[in-house]
Amino acid sequence: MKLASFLAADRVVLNFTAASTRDTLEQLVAPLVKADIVADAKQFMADLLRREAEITTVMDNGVALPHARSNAVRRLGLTVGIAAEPGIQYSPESPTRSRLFFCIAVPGYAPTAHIPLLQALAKFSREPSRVDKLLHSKSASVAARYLINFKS
Amino acid sequence: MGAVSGEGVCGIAQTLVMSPLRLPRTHNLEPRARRFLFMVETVARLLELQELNITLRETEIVHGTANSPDLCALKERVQALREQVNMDHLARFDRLMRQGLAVVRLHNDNCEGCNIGIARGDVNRMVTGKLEPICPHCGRFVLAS
Repeated sequence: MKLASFLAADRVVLNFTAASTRDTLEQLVAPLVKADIVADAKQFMADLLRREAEITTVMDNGVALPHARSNAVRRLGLTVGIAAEPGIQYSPESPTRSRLFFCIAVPGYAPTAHIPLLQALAKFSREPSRVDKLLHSKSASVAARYLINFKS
Repeated sequence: MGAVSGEGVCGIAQTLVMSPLRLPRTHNLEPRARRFLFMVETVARLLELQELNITLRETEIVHGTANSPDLCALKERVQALREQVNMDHLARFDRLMRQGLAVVRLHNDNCEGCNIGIARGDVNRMVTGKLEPICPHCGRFVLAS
């Protein structure tokens, strides 16, 4: 799965802070709205929160992969969020704070289009050294390039 | 509730497609209306089942095979839904899910599964309950609205 088609520097949100799950998602959804991937931010936010309530998208190591199928999504899209230290308590059940977020927008007409992308991102996230290197990216373009070069 | 005529079935169709799980009692309905409601209910359940199956697949990718109370609850919901669906429809559903999607929408009379158009007459017959809501080209269940 090539991440190049989903990643541009403007889809990477660096050193952001948030006080809640909703706050975090709002910051991750904003670049998708700007890129016209998400047509209705309110609808997509509701779908993300509903999906998160069904079962958490936070991995054991704290990397979060919020995603939702939504009729408010025009095409498959991805935002990468790197939170400032010490991270965000994204999921109340998670024992660790999350610093790395991959927010995936899935169009309602193609509800399984994101599966290969999710597999690639989950595989990336399972290697601590890769996650650490990404978290220490000096700029959004460096972070995007690092992810693009990852071969799943 | 009195017996429902053909026109009544169309009225029900519009309401039910928007909110397919809030269904009226069927004991006073004509056989055709009952069959139609049965199919609408079946497609709605299969759509929910499809959504849950996709969620399960996502969960396996994100969390591996680790079990959690939420995952167990999800699996129980899937099992409960499966028990409410006719075996023939379930077999078709399972076969289709192995290849991709089992329940798709109609967009401008095109099946979103195979992108082939369904004749307007057939779409109307699906909406009024005279025809099972199954794409004649790819065999997927269709949400006709």
